[in-house]
Amino acid sequence: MTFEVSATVSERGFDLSMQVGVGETLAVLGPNGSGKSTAMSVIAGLLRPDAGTASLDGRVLFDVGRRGRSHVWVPPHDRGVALLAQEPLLFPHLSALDNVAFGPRSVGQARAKSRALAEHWLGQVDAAQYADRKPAQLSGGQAQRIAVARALAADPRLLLLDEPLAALDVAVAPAVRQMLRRVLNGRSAVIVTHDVLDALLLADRVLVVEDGHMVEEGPTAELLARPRSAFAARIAGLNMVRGTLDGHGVLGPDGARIEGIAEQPISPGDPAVAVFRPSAVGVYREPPGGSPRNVIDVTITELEPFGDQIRVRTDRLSADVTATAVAELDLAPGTDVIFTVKASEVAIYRS
Amino acid sequence: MARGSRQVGLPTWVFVPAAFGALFVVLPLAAILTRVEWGNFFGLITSDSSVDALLLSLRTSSVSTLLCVIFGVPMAMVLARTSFRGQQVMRSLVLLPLVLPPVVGGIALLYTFGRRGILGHTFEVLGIQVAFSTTAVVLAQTFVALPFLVVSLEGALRTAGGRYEAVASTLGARPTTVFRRVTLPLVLPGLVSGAVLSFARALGEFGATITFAGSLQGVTRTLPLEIYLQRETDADAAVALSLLLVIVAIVVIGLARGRGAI
Repeated sequence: MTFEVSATVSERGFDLSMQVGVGETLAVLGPNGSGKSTAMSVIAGLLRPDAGTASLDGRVLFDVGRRGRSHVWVPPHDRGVALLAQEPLLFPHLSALDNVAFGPRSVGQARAKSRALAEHWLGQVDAAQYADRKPAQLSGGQAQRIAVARALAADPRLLLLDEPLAALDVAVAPAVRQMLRRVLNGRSAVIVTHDVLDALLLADRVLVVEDGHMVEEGPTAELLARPRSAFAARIAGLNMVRGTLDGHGVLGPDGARIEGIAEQPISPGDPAVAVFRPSAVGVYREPPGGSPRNVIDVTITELEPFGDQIRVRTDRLSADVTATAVAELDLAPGTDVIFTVKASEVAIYRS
Repeated sequence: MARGSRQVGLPTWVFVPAAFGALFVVLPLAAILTRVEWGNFFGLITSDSSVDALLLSLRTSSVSTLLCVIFGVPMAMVLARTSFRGQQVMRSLVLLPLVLPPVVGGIALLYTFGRRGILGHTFEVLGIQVAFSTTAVVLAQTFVALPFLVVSLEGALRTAGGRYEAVASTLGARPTTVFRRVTLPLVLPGLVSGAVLSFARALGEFGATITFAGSLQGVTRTLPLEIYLQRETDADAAVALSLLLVIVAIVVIGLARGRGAI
C-alpha cells in the first residue's frame, strides 16, 4: 500500500479513510458538499484534521489527535503530494514554462535543468507551443493542461486532482480527459469527481462519499455496473431498489417488491439491492397484461432530455422513453404512471 | 469595461456635487499659484534654510518609507494570513495612528523615547538621545505612515487570496520561497501604492514631528515645519515652499501611477 489516510474533521462531519496502491488511481465520487474536497485538503496538508493519520510510501505525513501518540505534522511542501484544483491557478506573473518549472526550482534544481524538465512536461500534455505565454493569454483548456504539467513536474509521489475537468468547456474536456488518462497511467493518484466518465476512464477503483463518510468502494467497472449507493446509481444512470431478499426478489422498505435474477447466492432476509437500467423500464397509463413482470406505481417528478430519448424521473426510479411516447402518453411532472420491468432485466446482489 | 465607454448612464445631478468637490480640491492649489512671486521664486526656494529643509524631508521620508516596508510587510502578512486571539483588537491598534491627531502621536512618542519616556532611560544608558534629533523625525514619520502601508498591503493580500500560495506549497515550495516567488509578485502593486502613500504621509508630517523632534534647522526642521515658520516672517517664501511641496507630491504620485500602482 503506497498511501493510506484516515481522518476526522468534526466541524464538517467528515470521517473518512482511504488507501491508494502503487500506481493506482482512486476516484472519489460524491455529491457536492460530501467532503471530497475536504479529503484533498487534509491529504495535501492545507487543512488540519481533528484526529487522524496518513502515510505515504512508509513515511508518516501526519498523526494527530490521538492520545498517547506523538504528534506528527509534515508541512505541505514536504509531503510529495501535488494538488491540481478545478481552476488551473497558474501563477499570473510567470510564463507557462516558468509555471511548470516552479516545482523543480522550489526544491533547488538548477535553472537549466528545471527548464528542460518543464519543456519535457509541457510536451507530455501537448502544450509545448504555449511555453512563452502568460496565463492570461491561455484558454481554460490550455491553462489546465499546463497546470497538469506543473503538478507532474514537481515529481509528486501522490497526485491529487480535485475536479480537474469541472471548470472546462464541454468541447475541450474530452481531450484533457484523454491526456489525463495517459499521464495518470501507472501513477499513484486520487481524483475527486462527480462525473462518472472521469471515474470510468481514469480510475482503477472508486470510493463513493456521502456526507463525509464512505458509502461504497470497489473496482470501477464493478461498482459502476452494480452500484449500491443512491449517488453512484444515479450518476451511473441505473435504477436501484434497496431492501431485503424475499424469494427471487428484493422487498423494498415501502413494500414494493422487485423480481430479478441474483448474480450471487444470497439467503432470504439478507440485505440486497435490485438494479436495472432506465432503458429497460416500460411506462404505461393503465396496468398492462401479458407475461409476469414488475409493476410499480409512481408519480413523475421531472422529464429531461437524455441523448435522443427523454428520461422520465420519479422520486426514486427513472425510465428512458422516446419523445413520441411522452406525447402519446401525455406525460408531465405530476402524472401518475406505471413503470414495468421484466425480471430478466433486473440484477440482484448482496448489499 | 473599456475606457471611455459606459454601460449604464449616471444620473445627471451627480455631476454637480462632483464638480464642486473637484473645484474644492483644485481651487486652493490654483490660489497658491496666483500668490507665488515668480520673479523671486528660485531665490526663495534655494535659500540655505529651504534647501536644508527640503533635503532633510526627502532623506527622512525615504528612511521612514523603508522602515514602513520592513515592518509593515510582515505586519500585513500576519494580519491577512493568520488568525489568532485578539487579532481584531491588534488590527485596530495598529491602525490607530490613522485617526489619531498627529500631535497626540508626538506626545506619545515623547513619553516612549524621550528622556523621561519608558524607553528613554534605556537609550540614555546606551548613549543615544532620541528626542529632538533626526532619528526622532524618522520615528514620528514612521509612526504616522506605517498604517497606510499595512492597510493597503493587507487589502492586496486578502484580494490575492491564499489559493496560489497553497498550490505553490504543494509543489514543494517552502514558506519563504512561496513568499518570494508567489506572494510578493502578486501583491507588488499594492505594496508600491502603500509605500507611495506612506512616503507622501511622511513628507507631509507636521504635528508629531514638531512635538517629538522640535524644529532645528538641518536636524529636525522638515519642509512643512519650515513653511509654517516662514509664514510668520516671510509669507512669500512660505508660498514658494508650499508650491515646491505640491510639485514633489505630484511627481511622487506621477511616478507611482506610471507604474500602475495607484
